[in-house]
Amino acid sequence: MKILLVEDEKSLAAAILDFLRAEGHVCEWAADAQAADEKIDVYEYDCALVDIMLPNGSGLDLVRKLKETQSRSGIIIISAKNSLDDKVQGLDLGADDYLTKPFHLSELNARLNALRRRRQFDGSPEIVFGPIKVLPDAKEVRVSGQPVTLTRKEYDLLVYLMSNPGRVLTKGAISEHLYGDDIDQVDRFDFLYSQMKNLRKKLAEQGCPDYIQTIYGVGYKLTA
Amino acid sequence: MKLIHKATRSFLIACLLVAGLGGVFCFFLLKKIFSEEATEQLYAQKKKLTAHLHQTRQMPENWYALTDSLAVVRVKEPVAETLTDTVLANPLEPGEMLDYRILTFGVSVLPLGNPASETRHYKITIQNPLYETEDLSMAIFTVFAGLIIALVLALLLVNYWLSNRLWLPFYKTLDTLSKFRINEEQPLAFAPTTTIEFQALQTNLDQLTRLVRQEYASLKTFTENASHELQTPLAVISSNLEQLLQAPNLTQSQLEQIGGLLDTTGRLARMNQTLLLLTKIDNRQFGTQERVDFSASLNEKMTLWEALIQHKGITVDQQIEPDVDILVNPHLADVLLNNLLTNAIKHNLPNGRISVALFPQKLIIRNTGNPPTVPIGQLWERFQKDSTDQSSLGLGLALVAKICQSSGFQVSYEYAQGWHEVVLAMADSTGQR
Repeated sequence: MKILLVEDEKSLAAAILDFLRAEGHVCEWAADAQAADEKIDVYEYDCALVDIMLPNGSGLDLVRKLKETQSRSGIIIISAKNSLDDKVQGLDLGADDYLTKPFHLSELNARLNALRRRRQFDGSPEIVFGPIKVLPDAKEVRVSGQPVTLTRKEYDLLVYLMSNPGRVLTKGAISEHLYGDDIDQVDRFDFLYSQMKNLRKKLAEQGCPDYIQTIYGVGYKLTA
Repeated sequence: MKLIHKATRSFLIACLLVAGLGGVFCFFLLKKIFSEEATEQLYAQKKKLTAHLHQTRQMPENWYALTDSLAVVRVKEPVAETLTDTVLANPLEPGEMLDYRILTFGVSVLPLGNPASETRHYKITIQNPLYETEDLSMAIFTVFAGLIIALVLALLLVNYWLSNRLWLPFYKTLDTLSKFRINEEQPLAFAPTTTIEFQALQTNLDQLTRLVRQEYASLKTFTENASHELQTPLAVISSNLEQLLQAPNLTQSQLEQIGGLLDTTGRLARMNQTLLLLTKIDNRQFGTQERVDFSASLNEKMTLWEALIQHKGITVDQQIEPDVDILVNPHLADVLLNNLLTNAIKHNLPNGRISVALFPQKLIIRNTGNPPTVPIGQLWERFQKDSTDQSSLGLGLALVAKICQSSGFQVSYEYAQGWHEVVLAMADSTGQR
C-alpha cells in the first residue's frame, strides 16, 4: 500500500516508517500539518496515518480534507489524546480507525491489514498463511480446507498472529489486542500461554505444522 | 430558615422579653406608688384629725357616722400607732374581698372647760382600700399585649416589603449563581442592582467564577497536554523497542531484555493513562450521564472474562436481574465493571469462587481470597497494593472509589470468612436510591 504518515515526533516516525517499509509498503512522511497538506494535494494514498496534535494545524482538518479529496483512502488516527470526544469526532469525520499512543506496531499492522481487507486494495478478503486460511467475513478458519472450530479469543489471536507474520509479538502486545488496555493486568500472560496451547492443539489436530514459535520470556512469532 | 425569618424571630424574642420584663417592672412600680400614696393619705388624715382634736378638745359628734373608714373609740390607756394591711369584705360588691390599709393611732386630749378633769384617750382607726392587684396586672397585661401584637404586625409588614424589595436582587443573584456550570464559557449574567453591598457581591462572584473557570480550563489543558507529552515519548520507546525486537541474530538474553523493557513501558503507559483518567474524573470531564443497562453490561463483561475465569478454575455463581438501568457515564461504568471483575478474578484462590449479584440499585461482587494485606481503610487509596504482586498498578480500587464518588454511588468493602465483598449502592435511572 502507499501510505502517508503524518507525525511530528521524528524518532517515532522513524520507527513506524522503518516498520512499514519492512512490511513492503511505500511510505511518505510529513512532519507537520502544512507539509501533509501539500502532499495530499499532489499525491494519492491508499492509507493515511494521522496524528491529531500537530505543529501549525490539527490532524482533524487533514482527515476532513482527505475525505473530501481522496475518498478512497483509508485513514487511521494515531493520537496521544485518549479522550472519548476526540475518538468520536475523528471517526465521525470519516477516519476508519483510532489508535491511542503508545501503541504496538504489530497492533498498527493488524489494523492496517484489517483496513486493507475491508477496502480490498489487494482484491482478496482472505488471510492466508501456509495451509491456514481465514475468512474474516464469515469468521471461519480452515486448515487445508478442513474447518477448525475456535473460540472467539482464539480466533482473534490467530488473526493477530497472521496479520504479523515473521514478527516477534510480545505477550503484552497480544493480550492488549485481545483484552484492551484500560485495565490492570490479570495474570494474563499465564492465561495467554494456555490459550496459545489450545490454538496450537486445534490447528495440529487438522494436521497443520506448528508455525507458532515461542520466544521464551518474550512472546511469540508466526514463522514458516 | 430564611434570613428574614431568622431576623424576625430574634426580634420577636427580644420584643417579648422586653415587653414581659417591662410589664412586670411596671406592675411593681405602680403598685409601690399606689401603696405609698395610700399610706401618705392615711397620715394626712391622721394629721388633720389630730390637729382638729387638739384644737377643739372634743370629739365631733357626727364624725363616726360620716364614713365606714373612720372609727373613733374612747379608751382608758394611750394607744400606740400601728399601720397594717388586711382583707375585708367589699361593702359595694358583696362577696368580694378587698385589700385595706389600716392606720390605728391614739389621741389624748384634755376636755374643754374642765381643767381638773383627767386626760381622755381616744383610739382612732382610719382605713383606706388599696387598688386591686388583679385589676392592675390585668390592665398592664392588656396594654403590653396590645403593644406586642401591634409591633409584630408592623414587623411582618416591614419584612414582607423588605424581602420583596430590598432582598430581591440578592435572591436573583443566588438564582444566577446556582446555574453556574464550571465547564461552560459564558460569564454569569447578574440582574443589575442599586444596592452597593449586592453590587460588591456580584462583582466578587463574577471575578471568582471567572478565576475558577480559568483554573479549570488550564488544568484541563494541562491534563491533555501531559497526556500528549508523556504518551508520545512512550510511543517512541515502545515502537523502537519493538523494531529492535525484530532484528535478526538477537541472543536469548537480548530478546528478554528488550521484552522486559517493552513490558515496563507498557505498564508505564497504562499507569499514566489511569492517572490521567483519575484526574479527568476529578475535573468532572465525564459529566454526561446516560441510562446504562447494567444488566447487559455486566453480562457482557462476564462473557469477556469467561475464558480467564475458566482458566483459573473459578466457579461463578451469578444472579443478574434483567433491565437494571443506572444513570451513569457509560465510559466510567465500563471501567468500573472491568476493575471490579478483574479484581475478583485476580485476587482469587486457585479453584476459588466468585459470586455476582445485581439488583435494582445494588451490585454485590464477592470472591474467595486471602485476607487483604493492606488495612481496609487505606484500600481505596492510590498505590496501595499487595507488594507481592508485580503486575498490579495499585490504581484499580482508587479508580473504583473515584468513579463511585463522581457518580454518586456508595461503595463498601468487607472481608469475612475467606470472602472479599464489594457492595455498590447506586441510583437507578429515575434517580431513586
